[in-house]
Amino acid sequence: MKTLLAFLLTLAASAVMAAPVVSNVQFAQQPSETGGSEVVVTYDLASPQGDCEVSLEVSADGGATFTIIPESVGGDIGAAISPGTGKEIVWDISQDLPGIHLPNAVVRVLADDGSCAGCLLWSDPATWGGTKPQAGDVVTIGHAMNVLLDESPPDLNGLMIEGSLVFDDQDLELTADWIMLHGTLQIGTEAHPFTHSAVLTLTGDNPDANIMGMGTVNRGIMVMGGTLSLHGAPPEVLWTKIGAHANAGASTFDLIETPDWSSGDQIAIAPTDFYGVSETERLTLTAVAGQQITTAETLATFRWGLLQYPTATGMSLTPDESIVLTPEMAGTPMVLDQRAVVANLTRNIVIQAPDDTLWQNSGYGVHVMVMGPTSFATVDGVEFRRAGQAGRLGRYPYHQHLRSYSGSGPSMLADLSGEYIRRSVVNQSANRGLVIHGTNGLLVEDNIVFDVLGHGVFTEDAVERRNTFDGNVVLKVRNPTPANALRIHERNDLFGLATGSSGFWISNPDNVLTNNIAADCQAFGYWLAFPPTPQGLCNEVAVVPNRVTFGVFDDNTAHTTRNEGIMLDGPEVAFDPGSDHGGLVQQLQYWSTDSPSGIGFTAIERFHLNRYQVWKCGNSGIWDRATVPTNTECVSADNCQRFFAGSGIDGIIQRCLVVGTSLNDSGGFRPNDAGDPTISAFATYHSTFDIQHNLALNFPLVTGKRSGVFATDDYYTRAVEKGTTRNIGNVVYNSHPGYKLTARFSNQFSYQEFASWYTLASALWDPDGQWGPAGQWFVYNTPFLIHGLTVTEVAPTPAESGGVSVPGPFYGFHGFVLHGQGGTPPQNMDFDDLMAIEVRRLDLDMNEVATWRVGAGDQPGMFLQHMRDFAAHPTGLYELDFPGDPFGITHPTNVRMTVENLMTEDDTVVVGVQFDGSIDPNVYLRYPGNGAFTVYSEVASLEAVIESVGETYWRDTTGNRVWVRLRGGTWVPPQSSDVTNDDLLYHTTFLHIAP
Amino acid sequence: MIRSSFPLLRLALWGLVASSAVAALAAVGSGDSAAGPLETLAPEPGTLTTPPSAPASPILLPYSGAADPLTGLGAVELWFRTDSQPWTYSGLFLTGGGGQFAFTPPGSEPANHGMYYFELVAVDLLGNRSAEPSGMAGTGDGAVSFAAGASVADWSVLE
Repeated sequence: MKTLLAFLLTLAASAVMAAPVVSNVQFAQQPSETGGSEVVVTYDLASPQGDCEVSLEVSADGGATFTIIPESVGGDIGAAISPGTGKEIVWDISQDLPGIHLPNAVVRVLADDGSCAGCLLWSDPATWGGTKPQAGDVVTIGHAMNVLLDESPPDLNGLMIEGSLVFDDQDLELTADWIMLHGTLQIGTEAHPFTHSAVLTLTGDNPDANIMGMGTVNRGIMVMGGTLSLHGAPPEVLWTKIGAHANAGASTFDLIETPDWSSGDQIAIAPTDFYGVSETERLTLTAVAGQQITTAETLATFRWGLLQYPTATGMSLTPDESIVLTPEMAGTPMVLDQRAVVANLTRNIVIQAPDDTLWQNSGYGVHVMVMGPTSFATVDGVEFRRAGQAGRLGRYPYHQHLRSYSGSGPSMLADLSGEYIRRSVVNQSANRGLVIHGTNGLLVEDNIVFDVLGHGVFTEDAVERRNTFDGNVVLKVRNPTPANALRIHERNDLFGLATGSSGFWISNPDNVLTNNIAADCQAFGYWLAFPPTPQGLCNEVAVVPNRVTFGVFDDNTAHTTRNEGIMLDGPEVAFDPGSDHGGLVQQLQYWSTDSPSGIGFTAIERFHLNRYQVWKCGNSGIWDRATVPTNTECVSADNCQRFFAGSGIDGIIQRCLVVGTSLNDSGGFRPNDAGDPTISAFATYHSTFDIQHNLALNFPLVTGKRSGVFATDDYYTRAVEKGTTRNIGNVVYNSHPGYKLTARFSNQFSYQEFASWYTLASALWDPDGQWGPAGQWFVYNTPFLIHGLTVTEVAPTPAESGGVSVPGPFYGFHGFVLHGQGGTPPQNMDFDDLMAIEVRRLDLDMNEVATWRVGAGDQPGMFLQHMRDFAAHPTGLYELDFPGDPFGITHPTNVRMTVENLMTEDDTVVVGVQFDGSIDPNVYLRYPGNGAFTVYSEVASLEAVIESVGETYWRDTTGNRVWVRLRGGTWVPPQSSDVTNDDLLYHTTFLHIAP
Repeated sequence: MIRSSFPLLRLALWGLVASSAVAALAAVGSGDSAAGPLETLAPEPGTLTTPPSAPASPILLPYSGAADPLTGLGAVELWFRTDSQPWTYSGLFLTGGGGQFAFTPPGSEPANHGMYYFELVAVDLLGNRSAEPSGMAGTGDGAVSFAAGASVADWSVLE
């Protein structure tokens, strides 16, 4: 192998084009109109080649070095500045350089027309000392040497660029094992994009070879302190949609706009059905005629191609006026767009690996790695073809590596400024797509990421902030093999969590995601996974990712995902300095806050997930485990479980269009048929989300299953459920409000009748009359709950809907403590004791009407076993026993229980609680968070209790029971600033029967 | 922002080459420059003297010591806030290093009675400014209880 170093020899031999000339530079500092100080720079620009890219730099040392790059600039600066006189740049120096005094400043204006005028020519032997590079050479372009690539060189073993290499705007091919870039590689500029074909093929065939002491750089472009400037000429229409259905076998497609595409271009057409039913297909154009394209291959599966509109009778292909939105619903989306995305994969600058056996068998592809704080990369209109190196850390199609943090400590460096990757394509990758690692401030815009193993867009260490991801389309994301998965979460179904490779893995909240599409992903479309600590090389950075202010999430689409469309949960566990956890994930609540330490409720910021669209997702449309998120004007359709499910606090879902089954329905098949076969619109996590002013269609009743608009299996923390008071103004068509589910008897997807080992809310308040008359309660159709009451059947029948509607009120009892509250057995805390309960409802003659039983929760494989409660009506007498005391004690000795919904003095009910008859108790009702309580008076008999107005008790010493007539109207609000809606809504109290 | 980045150092090298050797080497970018001072140091706002209370409008607020030794003082602005309203510019400014503001509490009496906090902001001839107060933070350079017609003793009761 021969190494060539080009020499500065015969400059006169180089072809010389006229370079742009900047002249008459002047500047003046002055007050600005907006306050502060500004510098106005004027200059003249002459450029025979036309528009230039103009930049500004400042020297603090009289021109010896120019280390200041003004950022807050406007006027005649940046790309495409036309030649002329009197050009003006305005620099807000107060913003960029506060508190400085530079007596010897020099302000310099630079212009670049992209022509490399005056460069040495690659084709000129004189550039190389007389002999041009030969096949197999390792070529070095030396410092302070600018070379114009004006011919396609022979295949090189390597290319080291210390100076600059500029591609002439002609068809060129550059083949080398690797490229090391300390200088500049320029193919086109912003002002003068490259318009011909440039194909860079990286061919190194030894993945483990340490090349010249630089490491395993084969098939890589390694940017180490250099400048990568790639500006191709991508099509104006980067992606579009089909405008009519396309059947399997089709090779002609009508688009919704006229693309500037060409015969021979490759396209990817996204699926419009469920994951696993249809997948993204790669096709080759043979003709483009107006809005119609023709492909060489035929389509394997059907694609949906029309808009749908909600109407009073369901979804329609034609909008009508049958649904009149309330004023509060203004802004609700009234169109469902499931038309197939068609993305153009072809770019005129290609960086690729050869299609050889190393690629085909081992996934050994090309990669570009931009390293360290002193590199600079602007990439526009580039195709990365056969990219990424399977199972190899740091070898991804396009990789920004530790640009904003030092790799050996917590130091945070400056954000990137002016760097981007946009309008580019990852066209098949064996190892992720676009990777942002320890880098802040990058613009990732309008890229296509297609056919990727591993996460499509990946932020690596959870310290990546202030990056913008806008307008990107990620299609066909698959899990790598377990051996090649760099992080565990890129694999499948671990530890009970459905994980896997996703369209976007975003690990720090402080980023902007707008207008992106993620589809055909093996796990999630967007995995917003904010861990408790930074990870990897940046683990020492002082940030708590799951306590960082949320950035922007607006107008993103996820569809055809195997799991949820959007997952805001499941971040990596805390970094372990002793060993890499490998990417284990956990359930973890996210709080948006700018106060990472000492967090109280006052420091939490409401954050927003706006206008997202989730459809044909294999689980729910979105899952979020977050505090105070607001979901606004979103669209959900055809998801396999619910639109929304999650574990949050004070969330809001408002003005969304939620469609159970749209017209894009191939016979009702859903991938989860083997699991949870039916759909509902909302799970509210026991009503901690306010679901308001949404439009829901097509959620039919399926008897015995979670179905209808509201998923009633989410009401599991209380005996009475009043959360529907927060769910106001929803408009529902062609749907059932929700089947009244009974508790599952295990963590299997099956149900048994009430009286299981836990229970769901027995009584659901229905203030809006969704199930029956407004203000009544939706309850199970059992004598325990309806005895003596006027029953209204819930359509279509009680048996089919799971319940009936009856007048209330109902009072809830739960959180039983038998022997004093505490952590020392036989004490227990609320919900900590899994004792069985048995409640006999009696009539006034003490005859048993019905019995409510909840079995002991200490069963194997149990789920929600803490949830044991019963609902009582004021017309009943209730005898409460705890059979099978967990500690073998005959009778409870110090009882406490939570009682809810005793709102006024008219709310009263008689309860006989099992209690050790040898103990003379005090009976009182206590109120949380304020120290207040009401002492009950002892009376002489049960009859006296029954006949009293309340606040009385009678001790049955022989029957080992204390009878209490509870009464509301004495509740005192908590003094804590953490007064929640639930405290006010339920008037939570504690009944104590204590020695 | 200031960067000591490698590409910029490299650009600097090119610049040196361009100016001392052969112009053709600066082909990737050519330029021109101009020299002169740049300065963004904040001027000194001086000291404000505030009475503990003011029974009548306007409130007289003398100040002294404002200066900008490099480029010259442009103006001294008076900013204020109350216990319920955030910091705002009063609209009053003087151009000398010392002087006296006559501040009239905005709004009608007695609704505008209360505590007023004041801060000086100096501006030099290049537009550089000393730090501006914001929000409800801080008590500024001085505070005055304002209650028209009330004596100092009366106001102390109100406090």
